[in-house]
Amino acid sequence: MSNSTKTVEQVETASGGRNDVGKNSVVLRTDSVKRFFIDGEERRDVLKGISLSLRAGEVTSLVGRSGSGKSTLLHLLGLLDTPSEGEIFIDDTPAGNLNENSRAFLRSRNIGFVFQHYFLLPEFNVLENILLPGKIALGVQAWMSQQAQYIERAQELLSLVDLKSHAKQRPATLSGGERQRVALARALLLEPKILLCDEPTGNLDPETARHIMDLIFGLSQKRGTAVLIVTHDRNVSERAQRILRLEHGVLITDK
Amino acid sequence: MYVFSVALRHLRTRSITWVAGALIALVVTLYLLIISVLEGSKEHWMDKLQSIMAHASVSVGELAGGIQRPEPWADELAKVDPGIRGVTIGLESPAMAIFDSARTVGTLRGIDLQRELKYGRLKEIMTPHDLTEFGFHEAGNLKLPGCIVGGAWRRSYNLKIGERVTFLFSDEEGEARSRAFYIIGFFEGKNPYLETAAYVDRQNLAELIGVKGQAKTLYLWLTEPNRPDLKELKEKVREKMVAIVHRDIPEYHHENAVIVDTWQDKDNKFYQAITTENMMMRIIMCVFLGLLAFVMYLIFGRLVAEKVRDVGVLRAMGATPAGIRSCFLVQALFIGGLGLLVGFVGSYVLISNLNGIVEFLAVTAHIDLFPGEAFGHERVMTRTLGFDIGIIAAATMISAFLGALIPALQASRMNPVECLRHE
Repeated sequence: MSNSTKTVEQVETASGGRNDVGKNSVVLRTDSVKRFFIDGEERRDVLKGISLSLRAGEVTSLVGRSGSGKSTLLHLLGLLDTPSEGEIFIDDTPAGNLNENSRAFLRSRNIGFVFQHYFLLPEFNVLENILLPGKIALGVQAWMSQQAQYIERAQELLSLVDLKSHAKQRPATLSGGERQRVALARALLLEPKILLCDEPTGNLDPETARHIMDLIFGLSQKRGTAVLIVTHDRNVSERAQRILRLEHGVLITDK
Repeated sequence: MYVFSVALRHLRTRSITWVAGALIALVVTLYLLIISVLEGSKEHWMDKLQSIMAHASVSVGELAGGIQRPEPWADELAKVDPGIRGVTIGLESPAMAIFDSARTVGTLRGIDLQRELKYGRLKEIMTPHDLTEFGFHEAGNLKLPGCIVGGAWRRSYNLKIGERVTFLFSDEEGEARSRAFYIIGFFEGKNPYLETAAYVDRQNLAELIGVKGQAKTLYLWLTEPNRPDLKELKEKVREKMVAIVHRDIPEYHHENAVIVDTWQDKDNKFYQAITTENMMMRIIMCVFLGLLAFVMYLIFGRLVAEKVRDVGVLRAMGATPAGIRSCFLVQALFIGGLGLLVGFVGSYVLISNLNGIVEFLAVTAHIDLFPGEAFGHERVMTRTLGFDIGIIAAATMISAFLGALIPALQASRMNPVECLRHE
């Protein structure tokens, strides 16, 4: 797991503009990615050479039993972790083994996350939670000059997820479905090329889950976002254009 | 940008951070209050020590006849250093003072009133303030020379201007002599010991005593008595005086006959004790600040433990380890700065109203916070030094920073995947 010495500037060049790729073009690709953990003298192989690609405007579901390596793969694709072997490409740029700062930079501009447990920051209201990725990605000066644009965009996203009237509320006052919609809006603020969802409907009732999935599928179609959904829910997985099945760290089917 | 948002928002919603801020404010207030009182007390004591006595005295051994040419030598010494405000001339003799109803021992001090008024502090402590000469005054059928008597005698013997006082003393040959004086004024020396004396005209006293020179001591008055290079100045003055004696009394070459004493030499132990006490208190208060750093460490350790998932989410959104570290450090510095500000305001309010508070406590709760006997003065004196404000400001910010540093480093080194999986 050696860190690349690629600079942030090089990565920025590689990251290009947002959603400027054509539909069905590959935005994320893995090449024989392996991930193992060393526990004392024992080596535990979690992912055993995964090669896959995610295309713009396509929703892909990733299914498999608990412990099959789904979340580990999701974290690798999201550049939160580094592969033990193999490489991850974002727009054909090797990204998996970059250093922490470069991966953080790429992540903030290309990847959005939606988690099962929403992970909204409790101290911030709904609008502030949605604006956070913008504040992280931009420096102080850039944020000050572009703040109005981002607030406008956050308001649009709130309308899209039907929560405009909740902008000033704290997450604690929202229902599970509302929180997940806020998390979705947050993930979409910077118009990422890739949206990674980890059990996004895992804590929701079927009706709310269906509503969330409608939103995700609609956004993917409309904006050309490549979506990967890790799920145990057959209703969710079967709506996806592609289904990847992971068993014991190996990609079994891709249909 | 998010660093400030996250840091300040955590601050608003986590009451434990306010506890840290309140502790900082308390320590800052206590530091400034205690040190200001101690410094005020020190200044008052120094004022007492320096109220009558000059900041340095120069004497020449008796074998050389004392200060044989007082005025020119005084003028020459005044030019040794620009920090010397002026030089006065003194001639002292132990004496017994005889009043109408009592007698007591003390000191007769011969001075040049004009020089004393120009360079010394007599004008500040003398009543009436407008005296310019001792003169001779009608007392019955006698004409008596004027004298200015110490406040201790005035209070003890209920003396008034225009009364007579007779001094009994011995001349250079050891013969007893006496001389009556006319009281033209009084001086308040703040120090009772120094007040058991009377000022008279130096030349008049020199004739009475019959000294070879006209003075025994030259007194140096400095612009800044607490100057840090007092010892160096003392040496410069001594060298100059040795050179003067060598030039003007060539038959007398004994260097050790020239003695220069600064006010610190005379009261060095007392001065050092007060200075050490104040410095020790500063150190003790800084130890409290060190403990505060430990409290900050505990508070931020807990805060980081509470925020593991938030760290994971921020990292997922693109925050760098340095950004995460900064969130906690900015928070700590903000708490430190806020505590400092509140501490400054609190100490200012307390110090400004200290005497009122002390009186209120004495009247209502019979608590004597500052007993006059211990501090040597009735009112609480305070003096806040810029040095102390700087020290407390720097120490507070450093404590806050260091206290939060380890938890902040731990937060920045957390694996984002583990953070997101944290239960």
